[in-house]
Amino acid sequence: MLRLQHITKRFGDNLAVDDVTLELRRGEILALVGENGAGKTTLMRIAAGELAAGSGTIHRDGEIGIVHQHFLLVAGFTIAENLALQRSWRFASRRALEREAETLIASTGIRLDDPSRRVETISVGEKSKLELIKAIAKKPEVLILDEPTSVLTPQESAELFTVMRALAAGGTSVVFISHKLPEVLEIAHRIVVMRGGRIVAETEAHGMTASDLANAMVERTSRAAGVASTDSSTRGEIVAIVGVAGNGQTELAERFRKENPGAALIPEDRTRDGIVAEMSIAENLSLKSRRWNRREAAASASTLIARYSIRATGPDQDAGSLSGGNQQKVILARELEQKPKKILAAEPTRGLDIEATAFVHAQLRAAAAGGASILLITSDLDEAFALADVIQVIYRGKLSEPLTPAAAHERVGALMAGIA
Amino acid sequence: MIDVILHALPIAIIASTPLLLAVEGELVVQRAGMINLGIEGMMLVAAMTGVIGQQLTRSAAAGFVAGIAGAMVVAALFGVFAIRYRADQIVTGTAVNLLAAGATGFVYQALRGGALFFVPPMPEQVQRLVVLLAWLVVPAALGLLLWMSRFGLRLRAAGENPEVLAHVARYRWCALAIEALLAGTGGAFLSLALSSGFAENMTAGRGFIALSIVIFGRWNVRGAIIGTALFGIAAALQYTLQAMNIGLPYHLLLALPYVVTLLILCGIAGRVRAPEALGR
Repeated sequence: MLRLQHITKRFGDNLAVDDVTLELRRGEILALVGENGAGKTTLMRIAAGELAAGSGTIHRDGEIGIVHQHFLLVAGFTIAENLALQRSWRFASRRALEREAETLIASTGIRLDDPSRRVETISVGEKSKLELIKAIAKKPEVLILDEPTSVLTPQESAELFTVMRALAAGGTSVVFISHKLPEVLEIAHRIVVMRGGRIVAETEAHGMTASDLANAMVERTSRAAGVASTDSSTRGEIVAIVGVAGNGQTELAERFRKENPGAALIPEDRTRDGIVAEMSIAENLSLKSRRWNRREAAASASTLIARYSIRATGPDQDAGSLSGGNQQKVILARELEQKPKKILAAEPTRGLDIEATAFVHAQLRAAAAGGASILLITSDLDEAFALADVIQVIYRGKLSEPLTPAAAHERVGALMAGIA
Repeated sequence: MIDVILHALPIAIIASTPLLLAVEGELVVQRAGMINLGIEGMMLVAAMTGVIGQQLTRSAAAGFVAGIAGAMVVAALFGVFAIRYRADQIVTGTAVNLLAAGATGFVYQALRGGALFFVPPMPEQVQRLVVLLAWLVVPAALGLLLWMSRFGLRLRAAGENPEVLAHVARYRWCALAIEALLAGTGGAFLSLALSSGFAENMTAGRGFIALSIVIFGRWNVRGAIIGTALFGIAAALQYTLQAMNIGLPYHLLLALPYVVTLLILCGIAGRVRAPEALGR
């Protein structure tokens, strides 16, 4: 199958993977958990042969498939064309490619309609499914999934778990990278916890609880996320919009943007709309400033890096080289420092680890306490219940009546499914 | 007016054959994600090597082979910098053009005096064959290759998102070779069939026009053919109108082909987006 022995990998001064030994059993679902930057993805890229290990030995037996968080798809091609890229064939009509794609998709047990659609028009969840189909089509002995559920709705995640269980039952070993602990406990046979490039815990999933795992991951028990108590008259309201992705969230965000120029925006696709990857942290932080002066920008960037605990080498580091959580902190710092009256936060914690999520939540609460009204668009119900004063469900482009969190608890599922 | 157009049509088809071949070649290259401004230089070198080849062997076929070989050398030069060393494509293409213009000019001047650069008219059948190839066979072949084969799908992927392919360079080199084949044929046709030999800078911007027809033709074969045909007809018409002396300043008439092509192609619906990784 796959055996990694004493793997070490260094990026410059940063020891990303530190003497890791791991063996995969046939037909098991292994969850690899840990904070952002714990070395999970690096280790798995080494396992898949995408990165060379600094030292250590790798024993591979058969094909290893890996599904990245970052999609490797051609946006201008159809679903069928994307699938045809890796198959072997010589000549075929569009129609024939679509028929073959339908057969292939059906054989994986994943639901993905109409392969004649162009990838740029399908939802993030569907793109993620397409990546999974591509990986399964190669019939790998080992399948590595890097945070596959971070862009999926609960229904889609359930569908993914069914597929994972079927694969494992068929003898494929599945590695599931995640930091959503309830999911990990639901699906995994065995759990490996990484921190700082090392394996710090390795256990059978049976009998584990989420708090055991969380403690192993972050090495502390208390979580910093206190709600600031404030005078309710100056406090802004947090309205959460929940719903299955693709029900009009994007259009709603677009309309909010047009109607509220000057509002703070925490966009859904942070690498595309939130930061300029090629520019430094200092430059990204200054994007909304009226005046710009190199020295002042660097000085204020240093302050913000400290205040928002952005893990970076300094104000001059390229924003694109930061981890997802730290990129989100750069965006928060830029947007919230404007002291906005209105804030749009779209999926503000998607793909972030526990610590970064808690930080983002605390910042949003603080902004509301300071008087800003926040529109929170999220597909994470826990997030909505944790933050919102008012919850509205979006379904097929229509918003439900505003609900209090208590009332929403009962009705949100039915409203999201469109049966209420 | 219709009479005038009908009269101009056969001339237009033949005269714009080199342009069409260049458009077809550039279409393939741009679909693979490259902008090759050096196509002008490729045609110019092919026009010269074609004449030299014809003169040395007294065979039109050998002339075409020599033309294609000349274009291949220029393409290789572009490829080494733009693909191998990932240099800026616009800068590389411009440098290639300057080099091609300088080199052909130098050779022309150095060998001046002999009758080397004058060739006899090309046999009618050969000329017809090339026209037929350019207007019917190549478009059909490109349609099949680019849109119905795995090779074409991967070549286009190299132009859309090179990250998904393991061997992007391989597909880009193939695209360049196809372009050299087509633009080389076009350049040789220009000097061997449409003129009676080589003259300095005789391509007169055809490479650049080809580039813009590819863009206005929205990166597909149909757009390429329609665009070239429009340009060719308007260019032929322009001469007829000048001869008819209709009272417009001839400067305006000279601009006619460009204006007509631009207007009509802007109105043709279709896929507007460029290959996503174009120029990268």
